[in-house]
Amino acid sequence: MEVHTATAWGPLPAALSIFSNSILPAGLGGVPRDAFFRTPVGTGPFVVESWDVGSELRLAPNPRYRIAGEPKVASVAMRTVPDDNTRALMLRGGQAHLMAAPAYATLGALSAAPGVAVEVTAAEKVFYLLMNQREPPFADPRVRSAVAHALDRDAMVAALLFGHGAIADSFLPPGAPFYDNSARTPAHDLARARAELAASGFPDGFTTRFVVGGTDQFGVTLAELVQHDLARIGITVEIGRIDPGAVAMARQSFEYGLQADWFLMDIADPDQILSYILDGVNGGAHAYYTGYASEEMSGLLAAAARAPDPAGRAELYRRVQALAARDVPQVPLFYAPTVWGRSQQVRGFEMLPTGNYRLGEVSLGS
Amino acid sequence: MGVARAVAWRLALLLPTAFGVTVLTFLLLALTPGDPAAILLGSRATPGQVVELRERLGLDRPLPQFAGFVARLLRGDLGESIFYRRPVLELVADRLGVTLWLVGYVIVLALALSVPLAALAARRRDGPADHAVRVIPLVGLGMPSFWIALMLVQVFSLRLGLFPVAGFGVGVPGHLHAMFLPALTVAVAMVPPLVRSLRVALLRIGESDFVVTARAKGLTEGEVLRGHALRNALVSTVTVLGVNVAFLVGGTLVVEKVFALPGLGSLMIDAIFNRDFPVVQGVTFVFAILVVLVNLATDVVHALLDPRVGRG
Repeated sequence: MEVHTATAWGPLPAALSIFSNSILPAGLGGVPRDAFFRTPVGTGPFVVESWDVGSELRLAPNPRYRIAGEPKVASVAMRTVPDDNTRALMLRGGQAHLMAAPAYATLGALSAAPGVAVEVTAAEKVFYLLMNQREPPFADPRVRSAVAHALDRDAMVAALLFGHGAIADSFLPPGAPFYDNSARTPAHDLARARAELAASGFPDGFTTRFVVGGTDQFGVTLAELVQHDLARIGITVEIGRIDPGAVAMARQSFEYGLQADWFLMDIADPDQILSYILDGVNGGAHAYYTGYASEEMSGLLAAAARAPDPAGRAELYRRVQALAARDVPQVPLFYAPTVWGRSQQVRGFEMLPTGNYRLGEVSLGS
Repeated sequence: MGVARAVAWRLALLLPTAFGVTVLTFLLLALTPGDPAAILLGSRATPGQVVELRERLGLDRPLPQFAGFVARLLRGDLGESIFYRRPVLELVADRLGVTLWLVGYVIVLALALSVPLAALAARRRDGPADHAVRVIPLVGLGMPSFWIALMLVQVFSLRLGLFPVAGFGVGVPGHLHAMFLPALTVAVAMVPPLVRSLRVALLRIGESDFVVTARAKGLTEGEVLRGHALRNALVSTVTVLGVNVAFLVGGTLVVEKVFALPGLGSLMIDAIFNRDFPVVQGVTFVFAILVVLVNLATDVVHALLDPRVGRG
């Protein structure tokens, strides 16, 4: 197969290998679209046995799977259990072998339970503080710098991740290709924060609104920490707890002052994440809906994607990260790991840095 | 004759009531912020993509969309879920069984606990047993249901291993086993008002002439209770039970979430968060019908227990 692109495009190999770029039968094998995707045919170790949407997906081994001896389990049931407490209790009670996303606060108790293990990946999920730059205070780079210096991100890692993570020192996670932390994100320094604010167009501070989903306890705690830190330099943060379904809409319509969100790379190339969060000129997402727009930044990003050799790309992405550390289009807060709980019977389960996992190699011990 | 006419009248009101609830739901949804297209596409979608999906789903034309919903409703079709891309009727049918199982199980457990407790309290009036029966269930009423659920799971599932932590089970014995703790969680909150109302009724009836006569004829207290007092005392309790069950039909979502039961409550709450308007409207419609039917059943049972109601 040959792929022709209009220009040289470095991220192509990574984009082609993304899990959602599946190989499908021509014309879906003559099966109507809805019916096909209800019981899809693929090349993986399992086939869909039944799917009760929103409740349970049951998988059976694919008899034509290309790797002999896999899958190693006779069936898989993936059950939707929204409450993380219930998921943990199911794991502890022997009703589940694997549980997704236990709360960070419960990891200690969960790992102490008999027969249960807690697994933590490298911290690759980046949390960002978004500042709406269509509102006058945040359009001022000195205000953004003041905010970044005012935040005590070590306290966030302790209070929100219970130590399972690290403060973010770049806009990219440490495992990403071309990660560079030589121009570190602004450190916690209240004197510097006050000086930046005093030199900005808002020396006496201002009031802004942190919009967060009302049922998102993690997000509400994060908002309260930001509120506390910014109050110390004279910025008043009002926390607007809104319906979770309206949070993304508030961001996309720029009806917020501050918001927090996270990004986990889907592909092993920085182009996806950096174009999304930093390119406010050519990108459709207005630099993560912050309104940041820099010709210099967008030019660097475009050049980095088109550069033919890895060394050239590395140098361009180093400059991107340095420029972002200077402009502070968002504040990278911390790196959080993906966590899961497993029964000690489970062997061979591994979470990839992109948040995906393969079940073909998983087996059950005694 | 009175009962039959009342039933016919209530059945005639069923569809207008459900329709009225649906119109109200539509208006409330129209006032609620949040866009299903934005939620469906996730936070990384571009505004252009959101607009395109809104147009494709007809979300930019709410009134024609509602008119379409009503027209389909008249043909017995509740439309298609925006989120699951499946007919709402199919989703409701999948989940209805779980909710009906839960509601039925709760009624059985609540009555099985309330009747003996109320009889004991009435028989030992103002004694220690009476006070205990009146006070202890109130503790259950005062505790949030998710906390009761977690405590029951800790003791009966994790420590004693008697019941599964979550799930619906397979087959009738599986359902009875798996749904015991969820049903008990809800029943614990329902027992106090039932016990109180039944105890008061039993005490009142215990002093009436026909019960005194029955005792004078030499019947034992058990025979008096079973043969005379209970049927009369249950009249007011059935009303209390009916109101609670009508509330339960749409009010089991906390328990459904905690025990991961795929019922209508959890379908509804997910649909609200996802702004899946057709599902919210469809489930509300079904809830409205169920509530009217429960109230109707309550009245019918009331009339059967107390023939004066039927004559009135």
